[in-house]
Amino acid sequence: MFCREQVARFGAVLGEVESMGARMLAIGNGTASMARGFVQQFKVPFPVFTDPSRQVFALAGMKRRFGIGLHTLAVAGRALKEGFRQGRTQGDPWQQGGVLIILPPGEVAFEHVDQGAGDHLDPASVLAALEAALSEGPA
Amino acid sequence: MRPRVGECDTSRVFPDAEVRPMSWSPELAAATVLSPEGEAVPLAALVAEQPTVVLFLRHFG
Repeated sequence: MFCREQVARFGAVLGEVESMGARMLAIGNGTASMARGFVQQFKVPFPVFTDPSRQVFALAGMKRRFGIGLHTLAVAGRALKEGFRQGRTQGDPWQQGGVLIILPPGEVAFEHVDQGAGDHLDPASVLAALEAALSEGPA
Repeated sequence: MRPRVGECDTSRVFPDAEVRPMSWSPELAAATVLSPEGEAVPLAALVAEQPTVVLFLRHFG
């Protein structure tokens, strides 16, 4: 449910990201077939990849934990009100997500590590972080 | 002020945020992800040309 919400909300600001000269992509975990099905079902407007071994998740500092608490229930209520529903989990249910902004050729200008399910940064915050990163340019 | 090498300073956007360890590394650059078609792609190749927002999804559910 949270992944569906996340791609929908970020898909809505894809044009703003691109207008800044940047691109957006998503990395999930699970099989390539699961990624393909996700893209097709939810018409994700940016490239989606998968990391079945979760090596990239681990190297990027993303957490793997139970990650469900009172905050999760609160944001689940919001997501449900907005029409997002939980489907069958495809991938590691304990893996948590996050956001990186990477400047070429490889500088992490911004990082957010989700502390639990539904602990996503809102798109406006990511856009602000992108704008700040671009205003300073590469190191 | 720019973050020092090895750090990612989120305080530029969130003044109260902690300074997190920077997570970019040669190992991360070389690590591969799979396209939906099953093609292995190094992460470095995905971010080499443009500033890139990378969303890490919990799963595909």
